[in-house]
Amino acid sequence: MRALHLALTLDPLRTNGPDALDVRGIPEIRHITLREVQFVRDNAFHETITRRADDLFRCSAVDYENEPVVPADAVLVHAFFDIQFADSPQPRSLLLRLPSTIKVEQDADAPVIHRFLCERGFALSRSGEEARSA
Amino acid sequence: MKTPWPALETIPGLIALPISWRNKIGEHFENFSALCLRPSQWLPRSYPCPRDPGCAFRILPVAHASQITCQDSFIGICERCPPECPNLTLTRADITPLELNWEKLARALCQALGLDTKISKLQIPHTIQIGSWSADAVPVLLTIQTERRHFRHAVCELIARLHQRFILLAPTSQHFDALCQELLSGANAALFPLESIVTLTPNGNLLPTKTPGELFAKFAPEEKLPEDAALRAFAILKSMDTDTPVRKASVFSVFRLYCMENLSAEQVAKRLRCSKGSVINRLALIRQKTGVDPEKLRAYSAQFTGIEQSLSDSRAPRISRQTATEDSDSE
Repeated sequence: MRALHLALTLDPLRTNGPDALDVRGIPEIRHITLREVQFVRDNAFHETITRRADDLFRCSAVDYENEPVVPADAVLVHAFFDIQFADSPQPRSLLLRLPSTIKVEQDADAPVIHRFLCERGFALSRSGEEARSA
Repeated sequence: MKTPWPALETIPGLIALPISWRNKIGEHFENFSALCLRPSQWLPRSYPCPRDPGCAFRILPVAHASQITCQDSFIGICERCPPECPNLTLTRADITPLELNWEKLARALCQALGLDTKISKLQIPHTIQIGSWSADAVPVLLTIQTERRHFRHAVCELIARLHQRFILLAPTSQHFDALCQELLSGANAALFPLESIVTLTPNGNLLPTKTPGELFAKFAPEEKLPEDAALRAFAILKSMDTDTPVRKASVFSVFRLYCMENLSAEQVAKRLRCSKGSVINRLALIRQKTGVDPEKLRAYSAQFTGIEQSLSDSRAPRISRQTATEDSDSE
């Protein structure tokens, strides 16, 4: 996987839920699925929890009656996504790790992913120049 | 300006390092700490990284040249391999977690809100009784939950266990949804968020935002009907079921649900599978027979429940419907 750097936040996952993964206006992407999140409970034990599912938002809606994927008190650390691009039958992975690491499977995906991150509020800065190869 | 109360609902287990409390409470940290935090005996192994929330510093005691470790100096080493952050110098105070002192907070709340202090653990997670209010000793409970579903579980368990009205305190109302509101109002209980009923003074004391009498007006001591009058009203209504039997929505069932369980006319109709009009007719009949508005009879619900329980006890003397109604006629 190739690593890029851009100041990130994962708060849209908490505040917007599945809408954070809306790909309207980005024709290169068909849909995005949240596969995994890791978060830390902010107490003395530094408890780190990883939740993984084929589709975390759907799983949460069905199993936990729409309880948030990430508890309100937790600090998000990383999120793993499957991105279904329009040009491929196979989804490709995307990892966002705070504070600024983005890992993509193919270099060619970087501009589209950067646009998605900026439009959905995952990128703290909209400047494309910030995304530089590691 | 930040209030300290929301922080309590963001720290699982209510134990965290001073830096975490300070980040969450801000300017109130010193006052809040004086009010209800105490140092824990347990020393953690990690110190949070301010740069990367997923990372931490490993805490190790500082070893001197003599190989004797210093009890009060520690070093924080980046957990990443290779390390990404320089080592941190830490003191014992930096790494001693602070935990909520429930008893101290309970006593401060009792003092501020004019409650009789009665601290008892209920075996419900993060929930205790801190005191009671008024001559009726209405229980006052404090629950601190980090998630909405845990708050709802605590509310359900309290209702199931207490079987009486109660006052529930919580740091904020952020977990208080429509379902909890329905549950609490059905149990004659109410939630009072600390962030709106008390303020923290600079010297670490609590002051109520309104007088406790105003705050808990709904929980004022219940006015009681004279024992015989309550018994008589109860007997009249009970006898109406046998004297004039009806297929649906008996008078006593309506009385029970409306006056004793405090359901609305609509809820009673739903429960008894009849029309709301039928319920309103029965309520009019109750008013006519007892001479008291059914709405007002709700104030005596505890008394009626007591009478009903004592009558259902096989050892209780039987109620004489005839005598009771004759007495009322003779008045």
